[in-house]
Amino acid sequence: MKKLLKIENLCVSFGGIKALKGVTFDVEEGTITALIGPNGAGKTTVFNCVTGFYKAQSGQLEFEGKHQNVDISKLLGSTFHWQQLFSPTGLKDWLRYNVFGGSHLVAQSGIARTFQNIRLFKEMTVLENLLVAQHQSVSKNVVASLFNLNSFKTKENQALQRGLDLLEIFSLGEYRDRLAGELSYGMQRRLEIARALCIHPKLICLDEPAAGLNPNETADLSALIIKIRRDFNVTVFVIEHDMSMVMKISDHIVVLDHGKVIARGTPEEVKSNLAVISAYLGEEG
Amino acid sequence: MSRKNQLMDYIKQGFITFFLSLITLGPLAAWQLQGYEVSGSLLRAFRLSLALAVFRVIQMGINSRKQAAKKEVKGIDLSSNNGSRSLSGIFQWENHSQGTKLFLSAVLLVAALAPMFGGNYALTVGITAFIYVLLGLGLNIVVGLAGLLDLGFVAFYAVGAYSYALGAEHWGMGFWAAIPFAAGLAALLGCLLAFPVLRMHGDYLAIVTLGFGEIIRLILNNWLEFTGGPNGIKAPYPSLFGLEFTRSARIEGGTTFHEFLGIEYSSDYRYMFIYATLLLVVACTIFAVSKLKNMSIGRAWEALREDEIACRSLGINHVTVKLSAFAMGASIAGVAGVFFASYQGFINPTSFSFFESALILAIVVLGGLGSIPGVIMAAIVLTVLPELLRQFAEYRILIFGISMVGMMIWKPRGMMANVRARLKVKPTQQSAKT
Repeated sequence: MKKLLKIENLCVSFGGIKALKGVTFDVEEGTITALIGPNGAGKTTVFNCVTGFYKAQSGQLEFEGKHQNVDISKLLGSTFHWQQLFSPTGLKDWLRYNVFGGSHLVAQSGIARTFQNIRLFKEMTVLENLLVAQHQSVSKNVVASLFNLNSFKTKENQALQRGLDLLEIFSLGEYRDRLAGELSYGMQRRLEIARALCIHPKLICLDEPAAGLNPNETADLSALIIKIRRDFNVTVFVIEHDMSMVMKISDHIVVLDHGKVIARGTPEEVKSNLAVISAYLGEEG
Repeated sequence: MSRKNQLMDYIKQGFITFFLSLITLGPLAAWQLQGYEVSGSLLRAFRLSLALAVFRVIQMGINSRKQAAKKEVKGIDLSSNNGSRSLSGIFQWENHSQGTKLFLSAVLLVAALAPMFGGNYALTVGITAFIYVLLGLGLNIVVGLAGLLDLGFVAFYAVGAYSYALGAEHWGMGFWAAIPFAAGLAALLGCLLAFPVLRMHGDYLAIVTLGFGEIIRLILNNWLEFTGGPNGIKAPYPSLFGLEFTRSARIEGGTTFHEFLGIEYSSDYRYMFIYATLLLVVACTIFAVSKLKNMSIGRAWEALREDEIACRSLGINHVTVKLSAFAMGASIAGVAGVFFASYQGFINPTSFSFFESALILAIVVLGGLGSIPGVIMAAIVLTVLPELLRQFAEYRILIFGISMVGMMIWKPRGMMANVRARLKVKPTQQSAKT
């Protein structure tokens, strides 16, 4: 199977704390890959590196993007070398990635994410949340908007239609004019996933989507994740603590502990892995 | 899009480009230097605008070809969703409630009729009020929509006013040329300010912008040779098609407005002219800002206010969004500055102190962050009330402060809080059947 995301020897440290010590694994296209591990193992750090919010000190992050293969750490910009002043392409790249670059380029290449503590645009309506995310497919021509030209209206209507369709799929249709901050916790979680899907991602990273949900809601969420993988043709990369859900939905599991990968494989393989058991339960004697 | 619609779109776009470029380039392109003589010929401006319009239509044609060549985005398959179907039909945003629509039209009606009854004094009060409406609308973009607290907004106002006065003195720039020039210059300065503050939020941003406002004021105050320092500088009165609103023509052989029409000279005409132009500009700004709120750039501003990290995770470039908010707000303030200079006839740095910035911010906060009718109402209230309460002039700031505290307690979201636009879906015949 094709490898969508390749992570090689990823190292991140915050001051003296080494959060990730050489993490290596792949995410294959079309799978649901789960990243599990005890608290403080570095799962969210891996996520933040993949989505471009942290910059890794060393290591490779290659992603097969929508248009071309991208090196995620390059998009975040590099430190300035004086030699770059004398090479036009070097200077152009520096300007492009350091001044105008950043995590939004990672998102544009096809990686969407949700957050552990929900980050919705709380004072905007549910539908507007989805429209904000579709900024790339709507017309940015101010003149066309002022005079309400057809070229503007057509694209805007497409975006609206897609937003309404998504709300229907996530059973939020009746709340479209409500403020996002007014929704219940479970609905906000669903809305955040819907918003992430709006940017037409190839890879969607869900950071603890089931946190704070009751067992019924968790079951619904599992079904939803499987459904979006099928209907939207995306690869799902998920961090989760709820083991029953992880074992049920994922094709591939990566276990992280103390900044290192201690096990990889199918749910059955991971379940019977001694290193995993000792990391979660502690060793005997 | 059907073939006919597309053709109409091309024609429309062509016309819009033509007129926009005529307005913006006309004042500059029409001048021609021949020996020591400067002659104006509109033909050149016409040719240039026509060429731009043709270029725009060709560009649109190429773009639409490219779009067609691109693969269609795969629609979402709703069949697996228990057969439920989402809404479809004609979409329409409902921006303002019935009440605010009534309020806006009432303001415009009163404003349009005021010159007939009010006389000279009412006109000057009206001009001041509408200058503050413009400033409020500009700051509303920066503070209300993009959530970037700007305490030095008066700097852009000053840049607009001084660019007109200095432009008139050094290059003989006219009132109409000054409007796009001041807007552009202020927008450029807005971008300049936005760059160093890209990574700042809240209090830090407020302090840097406060400093920027003071820097501009101090430059105007101390650069004697260029700006005239504290003595200020004269700004010419506006003109209409070269007709001046003065008692006698400034340029030799020039015609003044009253001579042209063969009526008695009165300073009222000047105020009436400024008032009418200002009203037109305010109406256009209100229209433009409310349109911007419903397109990608306006939504990105508001999203940036709500959560910058989430914005970045969705691929929104926060750098350009912040720059555009600062530039757009600043350019509106620049236009307000031109009106201020041409109405006063004389400007000096004392008109652009920190108190002005605070007043504009108060207008935005009192009116309701992000709310267009709120800002209009607050601007009118805060400029007209002091005129009505002349007897209490000493207590003005006291009353102002008390009313601010009261507002924050009883109406923390402002006089007319921002109401979110609702989507109205009118089912079409086709979708009604299914």
